Amino acid sequence: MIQLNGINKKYILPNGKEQIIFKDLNFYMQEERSLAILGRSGSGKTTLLNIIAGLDIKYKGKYYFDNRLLPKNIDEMSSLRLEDIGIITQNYNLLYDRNIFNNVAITLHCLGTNKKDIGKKVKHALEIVGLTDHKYKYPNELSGGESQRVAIARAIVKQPRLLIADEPTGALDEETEKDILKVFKNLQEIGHKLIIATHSRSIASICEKEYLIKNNDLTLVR
Amino acid sequence: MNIFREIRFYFKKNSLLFFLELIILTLFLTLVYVFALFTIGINEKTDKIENIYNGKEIYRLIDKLEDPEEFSDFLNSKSSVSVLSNFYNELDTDKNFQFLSVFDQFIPIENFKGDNTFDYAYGEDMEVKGKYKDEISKKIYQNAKSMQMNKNSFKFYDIELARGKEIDWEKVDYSTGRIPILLGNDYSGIYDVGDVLIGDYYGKDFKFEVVGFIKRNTYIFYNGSSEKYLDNYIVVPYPLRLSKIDNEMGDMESEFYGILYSAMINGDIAIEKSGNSLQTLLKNLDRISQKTSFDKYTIIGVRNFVVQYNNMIAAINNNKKIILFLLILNLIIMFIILKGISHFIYSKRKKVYYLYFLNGCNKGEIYKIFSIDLILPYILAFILNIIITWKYKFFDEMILIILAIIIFLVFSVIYRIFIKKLHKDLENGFR
Ligand SMILES: Nc1ncnc2c1ncn2[C@@H]1O[C@H](COP(=O)(O)OP(=O)(O)OP(=O)(O)O)[C@@H](O)[C@H]1O
Ligand SMILES: [Mg+2]
Repeated sequence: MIQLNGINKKYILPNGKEQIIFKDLNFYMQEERSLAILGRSGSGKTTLLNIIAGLDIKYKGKYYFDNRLLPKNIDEMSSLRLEDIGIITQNYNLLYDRNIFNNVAITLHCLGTNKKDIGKKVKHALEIVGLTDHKYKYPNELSGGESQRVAIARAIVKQPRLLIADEPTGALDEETEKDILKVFKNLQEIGHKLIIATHSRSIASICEKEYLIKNNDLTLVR
Repeated sequence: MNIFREIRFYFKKNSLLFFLELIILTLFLTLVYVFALFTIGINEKTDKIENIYNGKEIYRLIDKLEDPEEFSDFLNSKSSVSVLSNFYNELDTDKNFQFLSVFDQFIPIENFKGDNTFDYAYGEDMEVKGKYKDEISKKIYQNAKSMQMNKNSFKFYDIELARGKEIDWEKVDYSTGRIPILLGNDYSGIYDVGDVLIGDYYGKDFKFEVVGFIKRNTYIFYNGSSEKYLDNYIVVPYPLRLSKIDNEMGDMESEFYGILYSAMINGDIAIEKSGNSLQTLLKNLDRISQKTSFDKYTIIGVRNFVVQYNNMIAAINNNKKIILFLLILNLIIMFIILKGISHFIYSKRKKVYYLYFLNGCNKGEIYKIFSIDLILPYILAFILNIIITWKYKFFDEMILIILAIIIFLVFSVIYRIFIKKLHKDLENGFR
């Protein structure tokens, strides 16, 4: 499904220096239903996920999705995300100008889903993350864990083939983490593929494989 | 994607900034509007001045009846007054020059309906008297500003009406006790066409019938000096021809005509400019004087008018420069403030653009949301400006087009700055 070949990525720092993140990195995801990406803070997990999600096109190397070489074009990448990828960002990135329902619905607005279906799908997504009663609350009325769950609902509401999650349980207590774990397991079982960047052992343990980013490269650890 | 839904959310969180932006833009547009009106006004004014005075020379004819005793003797003699009438008729009909007879004798009006802005003393170096009771007649009067003019002056200063009908000069006949008058535009809503004002004109009661209203901002050059706006004036036509005084006429009546005629022979004379125009004028006046046996007049040049006129144009142009400078300064300050506000709004809205981007909206759709976020205050300010100018009756299509261009330019510059920013953010995945 996903194949990254010879990825080189660097950031130009404000002082003009270069910070190298990846050097000739290769990455494959074929049959696996789920992968965990581990690595120290600052090692480049978010950067890698952004490349996979097509949010970052400023890198060298080749990216194949379903055996198709993807052009480094903003709109091509957007349509990839629109159809196939759901993203849970590291920060919740909720919009404070609208309630939870509309925060989740934004995904479907991009897809042009009709109003009736939006209602149904959002309701379903909120059920999965256990936020049915908070539909009309605003983000500033939620706890950190609840906010994280809204972010998850927003990513899964369109039932994407591939779900990319960046630290999805970073702010949750153990009980809640278990709930989310169930959600991810469930998503795996109904055919979604998962790529999760995480520090959590229990999250990593549900994944079929574990990778580690170290020394600007990616290595399989399990 | 539903753009209107996004606009709603936009307003919810950014209404304060939005209205700030709207107010700044509207104020600026109104300022530009007023400036444009002012410039057009000045151009019209200089055009009018040039039309009137270009290639012409102005002299003033004044009587030499300055000794009060001599003057009163003169008034008491019916034949002398008749001489004046002949003299005036000759001046007024002479083909070699234009005789412009204008005088600003105020007229006490009975039960006057206007306020003190119409008072003779208003705007002058005098104390406004307002309404007062005449001790003899026991009636309430107010001294209203009035300008008496002959037909030549009407044409010379190109006086146009806003409504009503023109003076029928052939029918101006003071002996009927009824005089048709025109009112300045400030009288709109106070008196109407057809109304009759009763007033005292050189000590004699007259009925003044309103036949029309003069266009707003009409002015004449009275006394060869600065312009006099007729907006708060009652304009009284002089008779076209003056008749002789017959011996049957009562003394009071003949005194009235004596005063009237002696006022009327004082006036400006406009002649075509040429090398020996003054000599020609003097010769012509001499001829008239001999024909009518009136020689108690003198001619003075009012060349200083030309100097004044030039000074005025210079002052106007100077003001124009200052205002233009202020306007540009204003534009720069406004631009900086607008950029600041747009920056603030952009940083607040960035997350929205990011989330649409994250969920797969294409560039075009995100640009669309962004553009509407940005353009709304500009469009609303423009509409507001149309409403304001319409409401306050200084609507002008030409200026509006200029305004549309200016606002479009300002918007374009701001838009370019922020679309670049957005593009960069999209390329970097908003990191
Ligand atoms: N836009 C950017 N410009 C410059 N440097 C950046 C930028 N984004 C990230 N970096 C740097 O790249 C490195 C990798 O960042 P990244 O966010 O991928 O790390 P991470 O593994 O996700 O860390 P964490 O576990 O803390 O989330 C960091 O050192 C970070 O400072
Ligand atoms: Mg990260």
